[in-house]
Amino acid sequence: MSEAPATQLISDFQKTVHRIESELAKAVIGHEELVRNILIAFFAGGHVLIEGVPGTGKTLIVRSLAEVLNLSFNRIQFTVDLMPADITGTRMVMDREEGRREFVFVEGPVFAHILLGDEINRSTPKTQAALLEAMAEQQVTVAGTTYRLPPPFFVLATLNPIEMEGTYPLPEAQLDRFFFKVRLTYPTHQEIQRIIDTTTTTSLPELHPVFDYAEAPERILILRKLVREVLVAPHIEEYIAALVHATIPTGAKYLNTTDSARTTLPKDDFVNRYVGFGASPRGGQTLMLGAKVVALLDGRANVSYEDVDRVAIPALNHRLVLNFAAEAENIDPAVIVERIVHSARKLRR
Amino acid sequence: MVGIPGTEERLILADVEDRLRQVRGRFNFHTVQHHLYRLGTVLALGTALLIVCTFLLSPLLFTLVSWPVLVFLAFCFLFFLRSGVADWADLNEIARRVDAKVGLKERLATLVAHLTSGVIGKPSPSSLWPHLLAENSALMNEWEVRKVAPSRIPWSAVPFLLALLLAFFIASIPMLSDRSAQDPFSLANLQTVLGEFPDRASELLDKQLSLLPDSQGQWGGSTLYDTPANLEGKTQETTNEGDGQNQDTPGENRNLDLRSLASLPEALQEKIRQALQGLPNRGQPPKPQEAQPADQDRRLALQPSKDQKKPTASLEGQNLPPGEKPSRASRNRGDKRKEQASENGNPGAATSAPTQGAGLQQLEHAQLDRKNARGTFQPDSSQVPGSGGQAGEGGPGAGSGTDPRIYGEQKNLGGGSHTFQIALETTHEKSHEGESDTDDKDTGGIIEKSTKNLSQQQSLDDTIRKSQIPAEYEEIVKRLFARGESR
Repeated sequence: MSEAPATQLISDFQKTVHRIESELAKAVIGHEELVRNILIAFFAGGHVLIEGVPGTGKTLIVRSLAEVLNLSFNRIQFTVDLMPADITGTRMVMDREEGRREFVFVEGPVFAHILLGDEINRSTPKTQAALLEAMAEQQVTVAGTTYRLPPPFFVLATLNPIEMEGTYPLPEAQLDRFFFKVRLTYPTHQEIQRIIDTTTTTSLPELHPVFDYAEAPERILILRKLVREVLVAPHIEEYIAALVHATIPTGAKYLNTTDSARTTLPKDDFVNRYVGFGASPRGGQTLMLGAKVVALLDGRANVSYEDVDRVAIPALNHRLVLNFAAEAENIDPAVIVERIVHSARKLRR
Repeated sequence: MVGIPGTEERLILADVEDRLRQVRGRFNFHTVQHHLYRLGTVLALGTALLIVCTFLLSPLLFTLVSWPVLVFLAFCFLFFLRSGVADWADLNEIARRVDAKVGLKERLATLVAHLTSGVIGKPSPSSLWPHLLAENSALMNEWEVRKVAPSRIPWSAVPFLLALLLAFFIASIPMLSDRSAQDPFSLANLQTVLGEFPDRASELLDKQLSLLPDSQGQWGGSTLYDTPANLEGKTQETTNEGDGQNQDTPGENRNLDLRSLASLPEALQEKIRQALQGLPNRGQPPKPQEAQPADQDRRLALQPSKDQKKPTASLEGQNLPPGEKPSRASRNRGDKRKEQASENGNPGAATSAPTQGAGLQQLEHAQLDRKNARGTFQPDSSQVPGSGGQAGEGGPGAGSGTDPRIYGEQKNLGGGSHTFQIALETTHEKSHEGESDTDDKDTGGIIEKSTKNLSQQQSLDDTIRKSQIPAEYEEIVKRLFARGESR
């Protein structure tokens, strides 16, 4: 029995994440929960959508993360006039030495390990859709040629909830491709004091990369593979499926009426009243992978109910398509997810 | 660990499985207990309800009420049976419970899930599988079978005991009530019973204990002492009866079944009344004692006592030994009833109506039946209470406590025609002692001869000794006796 290597792998994972968090904490004041969620999504292989008011450190977090991970980093400021080619890259006519001219593909900013899409909702849907293939397939197709993105590929997009004029809300299909949607809150009084103190002097915090530049992508891919090795009991899978199914309202379209699930939850009143469409199976995948990362961070080789609950809100809140009544009553989807998780506790025995 | 690869893994898995099986045994035993107590609670409450309905409702209403109650009880039985099967936990379920109880964060459940899906002998399901094994092995010290599944009585035992007590209390009310009380659950009767509860209960207990058999061998009705020929004969009779029933046509059988099913509540009501109070059903005319004696009375009547072996000049002395006074409670009750009867202007009722409680009266019936089994020839008039017979004067069974129905209802006696019984017991015993008595000379020879080849136990169980001979056979029997005398 090779107990030591397995335990060593888990221990390495924990140490790596803790080192990343501690390095990030030098630059990012507060927001520990947000940083933890970003790292969960990163090691699970997903992308994160951050919603927050300007000036709260969204860009700082992403840039610091790239620096700590020692990965390539690009930033795209989404504007109305941004074109898809500005993201993916384009073919340009290049002069060769022998005088010959040919089309050469010039990679866009998407060709990086970590991509920051700042204020993604300010660009047109066509440009937003340019990210779809990159996020889902980790590849881009330009002029009929497909180019693989260098793994690991991690998109961190931000949403500005204010100044909504001239913005294009992200389509549900694109929202679904984000692993987590996290909310960046205002820092606390003490955090603001620390931010002022650390960023207005000559001595800026120096971040030390956790990995070597050459081996960073490979190390990260190994850690991502380890996440998928975490064991899951069948009743945890049932629990996740029940959670996802509970987000679908009773009278929803495309509801499978022949579903004879053994473990189901009664529909929450809020779900029936405010939800137009529930979470997709991708939501279940997100719950599972996120829970696996949480389990590893806890030093376990198996997923527990608490791990699932821990990632339920960031994994599901952006996958609920609320109806007009919810918009009118300003219902937060996180509240609905929280109610579902609370009612799902009776499934645990 | 050095050895065969996978040995340690198998040892850990076997250890976990073994401990989980112990926990499962305890959990399932607890579950079974829980459901049995719940079922017992419902049954006890249903029985109490039926007892109350038996005495409060008319046969028609009882039929209407008892069917839903019986159906409900049957439904409850099936429900708890199904619940017991559904709650029967497997290893996965037990592992989940242990996880939740000890806080193992699904470590054990995950391990057992993979274990039951057949991980042994196959490649590891994950590179982290050894870590899970090691964790479970280390955490096994933190949970013990006794702590996880302590041996405790389920909470459902409390309502069960309460329901049982309630049922016993309700059942004891008619047993301790006066036989004349047709409605034992009336407020007045309840006050009387509760007021005299200690006396009545102790008296009933004493009577019950006094009627217990001294040993199994003294049961008069036992077939243990039957000869093989008798047993064969009885078996043959039973077989014949069965054959006779089987000869009915299917349609008749179905009708009989339906009829018996329809009369089930009524029969149940009657049975309860008889069992608790020895009374026929309300609204039905009392049946002759000979035609439908209570089973217990019949059994007790056949049961010989120690006193039976002694020649008794007066059976009155057996029930009430000379010089011994009746108990204070029964005397008090008797006095009270006499007073009540006097107030009603019916002095004879004081002696004709039984003055004991119903259960006590039932036991007295049994004792009197026992007397009857070895009584002497008595004219009917001496057996009728209030006809001038006094205690000790009318011979055995003629005391004041004699039940007027011991030989059946008066109207069945044939308008003054005589029934009689042969003094078999007296004759038998005295002939053993070799005393010369004029009465004994008449019959002793025949009886002695008829029982000569039987053992003592069998002779006590002799059929003729217990039989009551109808009046129309009087001449025949006398002729037989005369023939024996002439010999």
